[in-house]
Amino acid sequence: MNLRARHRIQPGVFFAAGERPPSCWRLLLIDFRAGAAPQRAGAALERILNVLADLRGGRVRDLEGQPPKDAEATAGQFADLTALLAVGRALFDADRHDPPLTRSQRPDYVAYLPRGRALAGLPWAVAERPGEADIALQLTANCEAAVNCAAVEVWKLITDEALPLTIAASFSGFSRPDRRGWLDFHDGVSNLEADQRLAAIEALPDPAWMGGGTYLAFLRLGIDLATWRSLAPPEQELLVGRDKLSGAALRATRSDARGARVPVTPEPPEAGDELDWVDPPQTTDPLLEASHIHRANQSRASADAPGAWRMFRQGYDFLETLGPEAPLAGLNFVSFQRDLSVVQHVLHLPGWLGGVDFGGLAGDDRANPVDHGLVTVRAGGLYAVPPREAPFPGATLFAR
Amino acid sequence: MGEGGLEAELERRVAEGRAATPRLVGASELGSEQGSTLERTAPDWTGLPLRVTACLGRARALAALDRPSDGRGASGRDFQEEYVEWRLVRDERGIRRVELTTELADRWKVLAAHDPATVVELVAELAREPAVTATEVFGDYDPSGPRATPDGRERAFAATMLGPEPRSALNDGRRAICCMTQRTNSLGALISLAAAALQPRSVTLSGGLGRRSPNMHELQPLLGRVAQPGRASDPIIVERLARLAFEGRPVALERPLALCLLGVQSERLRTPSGEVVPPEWFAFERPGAPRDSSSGRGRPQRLTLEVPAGEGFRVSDLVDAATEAPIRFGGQIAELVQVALPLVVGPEAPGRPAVVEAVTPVISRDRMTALGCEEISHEAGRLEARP
Repeated sequence: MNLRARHRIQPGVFFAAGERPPSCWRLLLIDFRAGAAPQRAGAALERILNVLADLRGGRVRDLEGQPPKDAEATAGQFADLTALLAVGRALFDADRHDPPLTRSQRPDYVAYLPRGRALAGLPWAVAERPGEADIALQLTANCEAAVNCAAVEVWKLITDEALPLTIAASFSGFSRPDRRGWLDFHDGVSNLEADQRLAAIEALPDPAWMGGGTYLAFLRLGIDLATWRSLAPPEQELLVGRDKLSGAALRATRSDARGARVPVTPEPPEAGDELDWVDPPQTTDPLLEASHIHRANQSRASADAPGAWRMFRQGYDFLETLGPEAPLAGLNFVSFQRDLSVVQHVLHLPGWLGGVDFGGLAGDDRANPVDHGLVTVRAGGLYAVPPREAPFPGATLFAR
Repeated sequence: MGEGGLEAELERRVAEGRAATPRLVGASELGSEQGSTLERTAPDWTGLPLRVTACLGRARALAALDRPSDGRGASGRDFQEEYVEWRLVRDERGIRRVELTTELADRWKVLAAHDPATVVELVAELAREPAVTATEVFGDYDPSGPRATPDGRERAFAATMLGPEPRSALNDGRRAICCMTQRTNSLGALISLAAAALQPRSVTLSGGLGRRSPNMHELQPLLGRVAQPGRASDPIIVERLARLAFEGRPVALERPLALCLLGVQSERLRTPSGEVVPPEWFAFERPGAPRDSSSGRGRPQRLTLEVPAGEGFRVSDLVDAATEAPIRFGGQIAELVQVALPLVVGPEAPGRPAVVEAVTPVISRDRMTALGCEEISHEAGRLEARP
């Protein structure tokens, strides 16, 4: 039985061995209109997913009957489009939906991100704190036209058929073939091994309707590139925990001529040591312990250790604006995990990412963590991704 | 008996248990062999029992974990299996205080054997009572009588304070919690787990990528019942120790021998007005002073959360921002707490060690199978059925 057959994770989580996420990503946040009835709400979601599935077959609502050659081009454009449906805290909010849209139990950790600081050491960049919605629809494809056109087709459908929905926000992103991020360092190098991923992301049936699904954490993180580039490469390397050029994980530090601690450039790996080169053993050097790659994965344990807080990351960079000022760029941090407590623990635990915005030594006063000012949260939300079911994922939520 | 004598006696008990592997050494042996090339590491985990919540569901598990002792039968403490145990102090307005401890019963047994007066004073202090009687701590055994012996005192203390049931209210949570009593939260269990995990083993990777250290799922058939899958603690400890053994590094438990409370996610808690709870409301104790640890860092074994008297509200009025849930159970606080096992590690052996045992790689599958949920569910049902 192949991997796809023995789980119920929706398409759009590329966790199987050999799978790589497509290069284009868009997250559509959708709210139900006030007063929407559960049956109509569910029917609206089913309609959206059906229209998106039609796109993969080359069928566009406004182009019914187009010439076969054009239909073929349309089908090619949308061939690898995935649409993943997730439900947010807002769906369960009795202040927003009275009467409630669902009687199903809210998963405990599907909660609003707090007002003051989004998560521990991560401050909000904007007062409005966008990123929360009833529904998050993740679109991926290798063609930007596919995710963008699919998003607009959703808008058209809502408008044309007066569906009880509004589009609250939309965010886009892209992945890089060079496997680096805006910090110029390798990113995603030490993501979970393929054979570990299903154990790390598959949710337990608590509540029952989530059994076999997964949870999605979304944080649109703005990166202050001007601040980052003001740091010398050795400082950057100590914050990240990797050699900037080779991507090798740092294993030691030394004092330079001025007495400052600097990284020791890692040697190229010997045969059989490639894993350690990418993901080294636990370190006791306090500077390396405080680096991002060590903080983000303190225990180095497998997904078989539930206390290891492993998550499967599938993030996308973004470039929002570029003008005379520094670019407004960053990372759409997207992770999938079996429970959102994983994200909370990683971002709050002392010695993990608690008290810092990215890496480095934390301040003694937790209320005022040492803040490099590197990272802010421009949008964010925590979502439940229901398992595949007929007629659509999450249908159980709207059933009466 | 001074602290040095206490530690020496505990070291002796560790030595009795670690004969199975030369890789778990005494702290003194490690120091004399390796000079100044020692490193310190502390695998950590959080205190909410993950196996219990996986088996029962979170809501039912939180309730089960707090089931009080009735002085005769089992209690929620039997489910508190992550090397940290707790009790709640309630009044008519809700939860007034949460007390958590990682103190090993063995430490208390040694102290009881050799310094019963100190033990009685300490129990009173932890119970926040002016005094307690020796009978409440040692039962019918007179610890200061002419025929009292260390062995006799230790047995009497264990029978009275540690159980099996019934246990003194001064340790079963009704009046105090002094040390851990859950049967797998023991020094013996820890040593057995460490000895089993520290056997050098490896998994050969396909494609000529070399070897790696095995994971918990792969080691489970070899470890038997000394390590429980699905917990927050055991798999973390097992995989860290297995990794160190794979690297050929000798390991010692740091002195003083203890599991400790490294920290707490206090920023997650909110007062009724929405403010972040001040970290000072969490009191780390026993010991808190850096001088008590050979590493120079503090190694507290006790944590108390209590809202100061003048604030006008209780712990049960606090909210965990990550779940939006008010604090109604001790497990919600245990979930925020970081428990750790401090280790001292010698240098990596040059080259990889000769493989003692090759392990078959396993792709993670159904993780519920090995959790023993049937037993947990049965015990939870018994507690729930109690009037």
